[in-house]
Amino acid sequence: MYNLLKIIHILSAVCFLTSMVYCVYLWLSQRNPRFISIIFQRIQTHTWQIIVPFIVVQLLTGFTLFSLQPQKFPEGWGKTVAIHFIVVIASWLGFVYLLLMSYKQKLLLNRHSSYRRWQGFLLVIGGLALFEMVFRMASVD
Amino acid sequence: MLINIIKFIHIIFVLILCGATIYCLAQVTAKKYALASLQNDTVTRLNKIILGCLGVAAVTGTLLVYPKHFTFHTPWIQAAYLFVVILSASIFLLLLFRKSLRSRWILGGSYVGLGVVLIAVIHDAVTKHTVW
Repeated sequence: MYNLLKIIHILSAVCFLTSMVYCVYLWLSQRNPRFISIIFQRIQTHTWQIIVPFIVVQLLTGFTLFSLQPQKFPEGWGKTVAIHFIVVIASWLGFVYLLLMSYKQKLLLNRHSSYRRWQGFLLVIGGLALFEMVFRMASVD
Repeated sequence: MLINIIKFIHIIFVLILCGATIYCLAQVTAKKYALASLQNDTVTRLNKIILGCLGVAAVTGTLLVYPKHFTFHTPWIQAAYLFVVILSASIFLLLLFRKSLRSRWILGGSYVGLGVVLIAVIHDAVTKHTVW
């Protein structure tokens, strides 16, 4: 049971990280504001169809793994990882929200937005939290 | 601490490896891509990335064997090396015959096969028993 959940946890992490990396690659590769609607639609589709469902799987399997064998994890480990996970999710949702804002600005006001720097900042924060989280997971047997 | 860093690098490269395989599978099976663009730059580049990641994952995995109290005679570790050889050979063949491979089914099947082998490696590493 524990091993099966761990395999599902790893595979769902692969799926949602692949989708996130693809979205970031899409966002980075297309700087032209004319294509903002296509990028927004693709990233939104990925967020709701792949990232969010796999995040739910991650949360469910993660909490179950932790509750099945809590003695395996060091003191305070669960709390730290949960905080990092929240930071990753919040920064991703912030990134998508700012993408929506720039899409609306382009659509309604035909004005190029200045959110790109903030989006980059959120992605860096999310990326750092993600690396820290993986590092903490790597330190557990 | 050093062992944790090596394990972290190992996990990151395995994640990239698995993600790149899933992305390649999605690319070659997507209907909107023309057959001519199946062997496009992205898939070729990702195949090279997969090959590189396999190398790094094998090296970091090797560095983890003794510190984690395993030996090179442990069945699941021997199986993991065998799987790495199979994966590397498959990717190498895909790169070598990328111009002549025209069937979407063969390409898709190859990546599904690679995915199955990767899942077998993950299974072995989690359970510490081999499926071989």
